[in-house]
Amino acid sequence: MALRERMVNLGEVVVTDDPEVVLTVPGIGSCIVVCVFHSRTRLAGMAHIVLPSSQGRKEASTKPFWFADIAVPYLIENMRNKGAIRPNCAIVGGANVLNFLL
Amino acid sequence: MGTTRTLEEALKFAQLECETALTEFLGADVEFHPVEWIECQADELLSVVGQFVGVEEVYRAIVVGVYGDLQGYLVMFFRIKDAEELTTYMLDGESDPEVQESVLAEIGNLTTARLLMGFSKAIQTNGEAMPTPPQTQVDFSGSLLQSLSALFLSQGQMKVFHSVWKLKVQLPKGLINGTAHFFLPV
Repeated sequence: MALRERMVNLGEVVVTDDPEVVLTVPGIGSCIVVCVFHSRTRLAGMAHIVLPSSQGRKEASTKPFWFADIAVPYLIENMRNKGAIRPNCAIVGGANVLNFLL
Repeated sequence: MGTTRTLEEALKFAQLECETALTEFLGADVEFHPVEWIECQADELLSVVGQFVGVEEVYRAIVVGVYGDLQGYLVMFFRIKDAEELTTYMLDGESDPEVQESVLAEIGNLTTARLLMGFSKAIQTNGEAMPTPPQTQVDFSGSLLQSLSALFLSQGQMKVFHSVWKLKVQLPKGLINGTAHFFLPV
C-alpha cells in the first residue's frame, strides 16, 4: 500500500476513509488541530483551527473553518453522517510560540 | 504606509545598513540579497515562506516584533548547524547555551534596528518604531509561521507585505546561509 500525504491547511477540515491517505500538518504552533478516528468505519478526520470564536468576525462567512466553534461541530457532524459516531479524538497544538507578542 | 515601490526603496537603504552593522558585529563579510516585496494573504505565510525555507525542517529562529509608526515582525531562520557555527565563531569556542543565544539575539537586535533606520530614511515618519526584545527558539519553521498567521488573523490583519532577504556570512570555515523575513501587515 502506497501512502500519500494530504496536507491540512489553515482553516481546513478534511474527512477521509481512504486507507492510503495520511493527514498531515507541517508545524502547528499556536493553532489547534483536532484529529478524529473511528475504528469501525475506518474514517479519519482533521480540523486545522486558527481562532477560537467566529462571533463578530466577518471572515466567518468566507473562512468558516478558521474558527473552532464552526470547524469542530462540522467535523463531528461530517463523521456522524458517514456512520462514525463518537470517534476517538486527539487535540494538539495551542503552543505559546510568540509569547513576547501577547 | 506608502506603495510597494516606497517599500522597495526602504529595503535598499535597510540592506546597506544591515550589511554594515552585521559585518562590523560579526567581523566577517555579510551580504543581504533582498527580494521584492510580495503582498500575500495572512493565511498563506506557510506557502509563501515555504519557497525559501523547509516548512517541515527544524531551524534556529530569531523573532523580533516592531511597534509604533511601523508595525511588523522580523523572523530570521538559520539551520541549527549554521547557527552553531556562527556562534562558535563569534564566541571563540565558548559553548554556554545562554551566551550563544545572546549572540543570536544580538543579530536580531542589530538587524531590526538597522532595518528601522533604513526605513526611516526612505519613509518620513513623525514618531518612532520600537522593536521588542528578540526571541530565539528552535522549532519547525512551519510552527512559527502558522503561529504568525494566527496572530495576524486574530488581529483582523488579512493581508501582509512580505520581504525575504537571503543572508550570507563568509566565515573562515565556510559560508553560512540564512534567511530574514520581514512581515508588514497592510
